[in-house]
Amino acid sequence: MKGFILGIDIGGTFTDIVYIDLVNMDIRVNKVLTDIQYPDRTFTEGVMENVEDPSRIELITHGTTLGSNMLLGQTGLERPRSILITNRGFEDVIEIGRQNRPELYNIFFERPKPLIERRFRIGVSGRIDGDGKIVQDVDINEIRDVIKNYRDYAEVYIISLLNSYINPIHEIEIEKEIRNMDSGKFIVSSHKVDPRPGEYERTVSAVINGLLKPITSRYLKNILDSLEKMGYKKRLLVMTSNGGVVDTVDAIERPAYIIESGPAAGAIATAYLARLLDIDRMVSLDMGGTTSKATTIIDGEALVTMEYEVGGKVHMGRVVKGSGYPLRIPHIDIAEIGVGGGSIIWLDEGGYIHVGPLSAGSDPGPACYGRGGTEPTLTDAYSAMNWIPDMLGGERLKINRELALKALEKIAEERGENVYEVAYKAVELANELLYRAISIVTLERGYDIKDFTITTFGGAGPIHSTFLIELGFKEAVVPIYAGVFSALGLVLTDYKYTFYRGVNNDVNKIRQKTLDKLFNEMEKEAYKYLSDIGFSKESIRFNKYLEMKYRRQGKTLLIPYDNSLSNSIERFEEIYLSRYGYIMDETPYIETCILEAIAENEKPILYIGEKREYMPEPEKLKRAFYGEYGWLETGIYIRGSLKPGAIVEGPAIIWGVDSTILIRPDYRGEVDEYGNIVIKRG
Amino acid sequence: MEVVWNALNYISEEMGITLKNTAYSPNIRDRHDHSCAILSPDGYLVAQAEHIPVHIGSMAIGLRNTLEYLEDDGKDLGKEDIIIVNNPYISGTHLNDITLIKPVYYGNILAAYIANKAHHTDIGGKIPGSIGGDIKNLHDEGVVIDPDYIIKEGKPNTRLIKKIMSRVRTPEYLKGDLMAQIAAIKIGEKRIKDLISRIGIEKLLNSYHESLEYVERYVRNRINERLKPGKYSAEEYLEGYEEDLTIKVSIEVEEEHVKIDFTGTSWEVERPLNAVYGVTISATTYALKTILDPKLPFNHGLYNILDIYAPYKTILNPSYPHPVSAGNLETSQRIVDTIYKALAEASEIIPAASCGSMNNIMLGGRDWAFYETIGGGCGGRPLSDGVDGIHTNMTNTLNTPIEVMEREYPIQFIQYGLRINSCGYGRYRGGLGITRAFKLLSNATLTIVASRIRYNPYGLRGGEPGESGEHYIIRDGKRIDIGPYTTIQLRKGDIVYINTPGGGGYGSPTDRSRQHIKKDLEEGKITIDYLRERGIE
Repeated sequence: MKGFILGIDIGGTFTDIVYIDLVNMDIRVNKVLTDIQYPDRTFTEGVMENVEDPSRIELITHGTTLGSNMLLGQTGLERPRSILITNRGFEDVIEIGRQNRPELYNIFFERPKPLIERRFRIGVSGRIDGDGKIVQDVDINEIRDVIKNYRDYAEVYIISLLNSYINPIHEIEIEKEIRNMDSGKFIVSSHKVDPRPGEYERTVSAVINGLLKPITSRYLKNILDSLEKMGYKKRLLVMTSNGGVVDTVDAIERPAYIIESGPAAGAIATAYLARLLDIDRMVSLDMGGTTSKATTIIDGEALVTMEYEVGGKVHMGRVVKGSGYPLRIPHIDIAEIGVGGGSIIWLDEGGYIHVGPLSAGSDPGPACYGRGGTEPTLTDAYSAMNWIPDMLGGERLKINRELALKALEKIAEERGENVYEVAYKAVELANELLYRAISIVTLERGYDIKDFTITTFGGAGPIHSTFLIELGFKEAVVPIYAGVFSALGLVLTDYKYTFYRGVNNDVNKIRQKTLDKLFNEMEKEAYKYLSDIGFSKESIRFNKYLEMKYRRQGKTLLIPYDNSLSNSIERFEEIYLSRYGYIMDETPYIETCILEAIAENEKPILYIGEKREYMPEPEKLKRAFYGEYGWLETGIYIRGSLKPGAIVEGPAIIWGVDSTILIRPDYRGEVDEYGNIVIKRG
Repeated sequence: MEVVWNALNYISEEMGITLKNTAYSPNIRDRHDHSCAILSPDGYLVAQAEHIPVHIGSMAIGLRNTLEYLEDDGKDLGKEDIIIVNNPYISGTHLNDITLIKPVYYGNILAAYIANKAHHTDIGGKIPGSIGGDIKNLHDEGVVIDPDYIIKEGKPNTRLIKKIMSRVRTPEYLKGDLMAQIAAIKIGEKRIKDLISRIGIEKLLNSYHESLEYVERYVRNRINERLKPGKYSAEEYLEGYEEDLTIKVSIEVEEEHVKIDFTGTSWEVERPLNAVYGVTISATTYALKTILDPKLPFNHGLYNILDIYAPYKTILNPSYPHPVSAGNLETSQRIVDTIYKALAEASEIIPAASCGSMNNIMLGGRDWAFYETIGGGCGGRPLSDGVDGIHTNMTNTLNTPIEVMEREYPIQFIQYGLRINSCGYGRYRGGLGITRAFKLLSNATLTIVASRIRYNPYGLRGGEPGESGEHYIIRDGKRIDIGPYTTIQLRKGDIVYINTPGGGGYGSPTDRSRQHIKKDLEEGKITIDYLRERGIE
């Protein structure tokens, strides 16, 4: 008999648990407070609360942001005692970073604190030159002295030497010596984590892996122990930042890979939806209380990027270079922008309205929550225009529209407009911000949104659906469980692991054979790796990519690779041309080859029933405000009572337990066989 | 209107992303030495995304000048034409900065101009890297391009492109970077057309004037809050080739207006230290923006509030064809130092002097040229220490990774780190400078343009001045000192040491907390001797 699968997403404040009964496909969701000191307790208690018989659980998938919380200095999470071994004379590379300041005009700017204090960065002799030749050998006696001096202190050794991405011999020698003299300690070498040029970025990747290793290892081992005591003996999977899942063993070995596993889940849920609905181009828009996240899904896969900064400040949807720690490992390409339902609406010195990035959060929350918030927020704007119900969260939260109007009044007065105009303008500004985040992952990546479907979820996303269609999308889909859709991603993903090798040469100097050999090696590694975990060879598939550019450029393009070097040149030129509008008369250059190994997990079935077209009667009528259309009589529908095939014509509002869908005039929504609502023009 | 203004700013940012992603030279692709802007049909800058402050303001002036030049010269700007210019007396910074500008038409209506500016590593002239050196005339600094078509009716002006390429040291880089600039222009054009199709041409055209007024309104409100009305003045010095130069400023803060007058500043020199008027505008705008509000929105509207005057034929408003390549770099930094010094009594947030030099290194041989700037110490600030080893004020370019340098140029690095004891001590100490040292693996020409060698970065409210810059070469075991602006032939095996200035301290060192002192020692950023010299135990 089939049992349950569980997805658990542990965030800094809340832990979301998704619980699926594989027999009747009953889906339940639970939200509890995270215990930062003992997150493993939150985890096991969360499991207990939902499951009477833990032995009936088939699989648990886990997402966490503990890693980034620790690096950001969240209290209660101490960094391990670590030393960084590097070339003498270059100990400050990790402190100087790229020597730029993250904020141009702020006299009081600070750079992120170096991850390893200066006194624990040890320079040693030995030098490899820019072509990989040894200029000076490592002095092994010197290394032994370093180990003797620091072995009482260090829990973690991190080794990062210049040019080790071409020739790692010195890092290997040092690592070997540490293993000999101080066995049992955590050791990370930069060439294994990030074999690419750029000493600062590579060192950061190595250091982050090193810092995360002890805590990840302890945390996951505690969870495994408790689960075992509860009677659960099957696998625990952890979501990676690129949306795959790995076993706990891997998560402990390369913890930097799971650093942003929480945010990846929403993108994964959307990718699953895209495959389910057979839509080849989709944008996922997760609009929560404070921020919105956009991701592009092409042919059922979320786009992945190598550029990411842990703890970086986000400006206009992009991470501000130098505001965090760059981590060059695959992450789902997410553009995040500071706008959500709780975003505060404010006037600047010149009298322009702005929305966010400050948020009223959940405490005190929007004015209309009646918990003492007085600043107007986007949610207050929705309320003022009569878009949201009087009760939110399944009657748990009462909405007080009078308070919303009162909060907006201040701004309206100053601008000499009425509150509804202000509210509507705030929504338009929010749309522009959403568009910005979306542009980053579409237009900037060379995709035209006219070919795309947008999937809107999170508490506030579905309200903006028709506005987003107006920005150029083909249609919008509001998925079932829109308010907790992101956590659903945890149980909808596959086992995924990425391998890569440096190539670093012009295409005309690379032979097909050389590439074949590199990919073969990686495939072998992948098969071994996945079969050890218990997957059959047949259940494994591969995605192959090349990172290409023109030799002198800094930025590469990710080019899908079909085992033909000559095809990849064509693909590169095609993609380059569509993105930048020209190509150069020279041979492209391959920096890296990438192999993504995927093995499938069992997933829930979301099918509800056949579509039978009908026009449901509205629950009631209410007047709502639509900007240039003014006030219109609007049909109100309850999402739970709409069956597959239901057609709702705008102006209409659909109230759900955890989100509201606004269908403006000239748009219509239809419920599909999975319970999603597909919104189109006309 | 807010929606349009946001969209325009975003479009300029997106142009910048395209430019950096496609550029060839590390100076643009890794160090982001470029800016992008949008102008109204009547030639006012309405939105700009700049990555380094020296481009803020100079674009507003430079692009207006370019449009005026074209009109005077009888050059029509057709729908598919792109103009190229680098004459700093027109487009506003120095020859390395090539500006492209293109009109955007919607049907037959002129909807906007879009422009970008990027620093090309070499633009010819007598010095590899085209900056500094013993130069007396603009034309010896490199190719001077007056506004001309780089693309006419959609077709590239190959004659002009070839002519420029034939006169620079790294033509492939120049071509790759120019293509990147064109790609950015095209993206900008496409996005503006997308915007028009979303909001309509009327709304866009109406937004321009409104957005200028908006910025004006914003700035006016900020002045009231941030600056005490009154008259202020200060003087600072810049190392010259023979004679040192004076920058003098008098600032009058009124309720809705700030007058900045550089009368008393040294007359123009036949050396590359002249800062064209555009640069003077940039530096002044930068300084005021940091004091008024780091988030101060920027466009031409600002100049209805700021009244900036620099007498003609001084180093801050020189006459053609005086050389200008380092005015953009060193003189601009000193302008900021002078304005801060003057306004120290008008505002409570003014920091001590930062490093004050961009510490420019130009290195090259017959077929290669390399350019970079090196950070220094940030000045101590009210309530916090200056940041160590970082770019301050008028520049914010990234460093070139050592691994990239060692792969692409005949250089091997010896050291790259913080310069111990270089901070000006104080209640809040200045940041440390940087030591960057490398060995030449072949013969090469080195040019250094670096100031704050004889005049240390000043301390404020009792803080000590920061250590001055100190640069030298080790040849056959002997040390050869290098002055502020030097060009020197290097031999294979020579080692170059660059030690950049530290930041000035803020408040008296005797007020520094024990805890801070202990941390300085523990981190090895200062030594016991350094403390003893100051009588601190």
